[in-house]
Amino acid sequence: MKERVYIIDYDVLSPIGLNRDDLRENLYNNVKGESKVSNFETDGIPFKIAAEIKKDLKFLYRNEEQFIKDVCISDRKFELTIALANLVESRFKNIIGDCNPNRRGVVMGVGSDVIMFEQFEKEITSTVKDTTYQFNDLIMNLSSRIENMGLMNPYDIHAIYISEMFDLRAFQKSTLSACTSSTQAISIAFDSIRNGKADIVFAGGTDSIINTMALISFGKLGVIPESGPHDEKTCKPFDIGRKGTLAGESAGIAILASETFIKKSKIKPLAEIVSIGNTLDGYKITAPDPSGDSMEVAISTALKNGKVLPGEIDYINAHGTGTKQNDGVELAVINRVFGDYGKEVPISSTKDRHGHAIAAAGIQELAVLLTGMKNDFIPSNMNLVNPIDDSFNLVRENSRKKIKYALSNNFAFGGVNTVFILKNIE
Amino acid sequence: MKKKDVFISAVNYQLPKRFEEILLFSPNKQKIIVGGLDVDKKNKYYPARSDEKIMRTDVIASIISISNLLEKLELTEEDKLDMSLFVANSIFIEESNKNMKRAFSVLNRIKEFGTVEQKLATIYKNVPPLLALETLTNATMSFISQYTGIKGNNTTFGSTSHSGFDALEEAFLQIENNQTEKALVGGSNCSGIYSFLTYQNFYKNTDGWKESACSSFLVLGDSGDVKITKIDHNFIKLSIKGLRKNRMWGDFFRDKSPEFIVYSGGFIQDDFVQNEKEVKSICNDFFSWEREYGNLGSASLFMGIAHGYNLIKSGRNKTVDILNRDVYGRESHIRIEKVIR
Repeated sequence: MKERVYIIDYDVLSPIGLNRDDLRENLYNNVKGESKVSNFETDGIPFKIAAEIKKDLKFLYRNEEQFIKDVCISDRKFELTIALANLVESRFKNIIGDCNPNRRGVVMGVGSDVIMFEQFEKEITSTVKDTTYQFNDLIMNLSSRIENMGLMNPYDIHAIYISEMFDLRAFQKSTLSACTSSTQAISIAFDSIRNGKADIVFAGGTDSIINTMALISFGKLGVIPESGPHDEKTCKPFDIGRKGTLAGESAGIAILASETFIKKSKIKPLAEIVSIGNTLDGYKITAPDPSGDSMEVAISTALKNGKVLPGEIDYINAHGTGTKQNDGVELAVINRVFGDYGKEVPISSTKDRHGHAIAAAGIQELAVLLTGMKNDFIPSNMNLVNPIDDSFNLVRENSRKKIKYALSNNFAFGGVNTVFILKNIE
Repeated sequence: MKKKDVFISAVNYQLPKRFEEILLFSPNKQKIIVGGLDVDKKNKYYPARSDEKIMRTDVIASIISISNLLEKLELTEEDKLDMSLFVANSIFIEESNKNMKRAFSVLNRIKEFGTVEQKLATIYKNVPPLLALETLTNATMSFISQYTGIKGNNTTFGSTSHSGFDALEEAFLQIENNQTEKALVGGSNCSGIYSFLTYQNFYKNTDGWKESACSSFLVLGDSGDVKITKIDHNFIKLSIKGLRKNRMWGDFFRDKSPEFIVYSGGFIQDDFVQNEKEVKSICNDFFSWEREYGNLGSASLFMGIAHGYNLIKSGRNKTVDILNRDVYGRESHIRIEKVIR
C-alpha cells in the first residue's frame, strides 16, 4: 500500500506578500505587485515593468554569517531562499519535531543563473580587455572576495542550505525545468514519500527574473511585452489583448508529509496531494505544442491516477501566463478534458497580480491555491476585460466557494507539462 | 502491488577526443585541462540547423548518442510516448569563441558611453533573441524529447555529479513501483571555463583541475540480463561551506565484498590520487575514467555504470559496484549484476 501524501505547512515570499498571512490579505484586497522596476535602471531597454518584492529582506537574515550575506548581494535567488528559510525556521523546526533526519529530504526548483550586470557594471567594463580569459579572470576575482562561495555556485546551494538548516539528510535534490521547476519539486517529493523513501520532504523553489539580462532575454523571446508609457496592466491572462507575462520573483516551501508521520505526530494536514501528471511535448523547444496533446495527457493522467472525476474539480488554478502561445491552448485542453463541465469550472490565473516567478511559479501558485482552499475563496483574473472565449468560467471577481478538489497547472519552456490535484482537508 | 526488478537494457555514451589547456592569469596563474566533445555533422541524427544554433555541443552529442541507442532497441513510437526521461545536467553556458568575442565586443563598446540609456540600449541590441533558450536549464531534456518522441514522466536534476544519482534513483523507483515500464536516464556534462568557475569555489588555490564534457545515457526496463541490485547513498549533515572530506565508500560494502569497482568524483590531481588509494583499500580490481578525462560531472555515475555494464556483457565480471562522491561529500553506490537464469 502506497503512502498518502499531505501538505502540513507552507510559506512564501511573493511580490504580494512577505508571508502566507500577507498573501491572503493581499489576495482578498486585490493588491497588485506590478510596478516600474525600482531596483535598477531600465533606461535604454523597453522592459520596465515587473512584480518586485520591494521590501528589503535583510531584516529576515540579519543573524546569518557574513559570507552568506555577501552571496545574497550578488545572487537574488539565493537571497530569497535565505530570507524564506529564516522566516520559517522556528515554525518548521517545531513541525518536523524529532522525525529521523535520514527520513526527511528537500527538493528545490531553481531558475537559471544570471550575472547581475547592473551590480558589477563598473568592474566588468573596467577590467575587460579583448582577450578571452580576462573575462574569466574578472569573475574569478569577484568570486574570490567571498569566503567559501563565489559568484557562480552549483544550483544545489539552495537545497543544501535548507538541508543544513533543518538537518534533512534523506536527499537534497534540485530540479531545473524552467517554469515547472518547483511543481516538479513537489512531484519528486510526492513520489519520494509515496515510494517510502522519506516521511517528510521540503518542496519548493526560488527564482527571480528581475535583472537586466533576464528582462532583455525573456523580452526578446517575446515572453515579456514592451512597456508602454502608461502601462499598468502588463499581464492579461486569457484576454484577447494579452501581450505577454509579468516578470516576477518568489521563493516558497511546502512541507509534504506521509500519512504515517501525521498520524504519529498528530498533526492536522492542510491538504492532500492526490496525484500528479507530468509529460513532455516533444514538439519544439522554441514553442509549446499548439495541439496541446501532451498537456491534455498530463491533466487526464492526474485525474485518472487520483481517481477524481472532472466534475469533482471545484477550481482550476491555471498556468495562464498572459502570452499568446499559452492561454488559448490551455483553455482548449481544459475544454477537451472536462467536456461540458469545462465551461462551468471556475478558472483563474493570478500571474496578473504576482507575476511569473518562472522556477518558483509552481510553489507561489500552490500558496495561492492553499490560501483559497483554506478560506473558501477563489481569486479573480484581475486584468481580464475581453476573454479569448467567453463561454468559459474565467473568474471576474473574487468569489466565495468551498473547494474540495482543485487542479493546479504549470507548463514550461521546452514543452514540459506538470500538474497536480489537491484535496482540501476540512 | 509487488515491486519489480530493474534492469539495464542498453547504454551509450560519448567522450572527448581532444583536450585543451587553459591558463588563467589570476589569482594564481592556475592551469586547467578541459576535454571537449567532437560531433559528427554528417551523422543522420545530427539536429536541424535551426536547433543547432541554440544547442550546446554536449546536447548535440546526447541527441546523436540516444537516437542510436533507441534505434538498436527498436522501440515503437507508442513505447516512447509513455517512456520516462530523467536527465542530470550541470552547466548551461558553453564557452565558445563566438560567444566570448560577442560579449567582449559589447562590453568594450559600452565603456565609451556616458549614460545608462546608451549602455543598456547597446546591450539590448546585441543580446541574441534566443539567449533565454540557449541557456535553458531543461534544454537537454526538451531536445531529447523533441528528437526522440519520448513524452513521459520527466525531470531535469542539477547540478553536481550527485544529480546523476538523483536522476537514476527516480527512474529506478518509477520502474520498481510499476509507474513506468521503461525509462531513459543519463547525464550530459558541459565542461569548460564556466564549470571551472562554478566548482573552483570548492578548490580555491589548488592546482591540477581537469574536467571533460560527456554524454552518457542508459535505458532501464523491467527485463534484461544486467540487473541493478543495489542503489544507495550516504546520509550526512551537509554544509553549504563546501567540500566535505569524508571518505566512507567502504561503508557500502559491509554486506558483501566487491568483485570490481568503478569510481568517480575527483576534480583535481590530489582527488584522483586519494580516490584511487581509498578504492585500493576496498578492492584490488577497479577502474576510473577520471585519470584520463578528469571529472565527468553529471555524467560521471552513468559512465561508471556503462563501463560496468560492458564488463558484465563481455563476461569479464558478474558483479560491478559503481561509486561516486560530489563536492559536498554526497556519496552514492550502485551495484549491477549479471542475471543468472
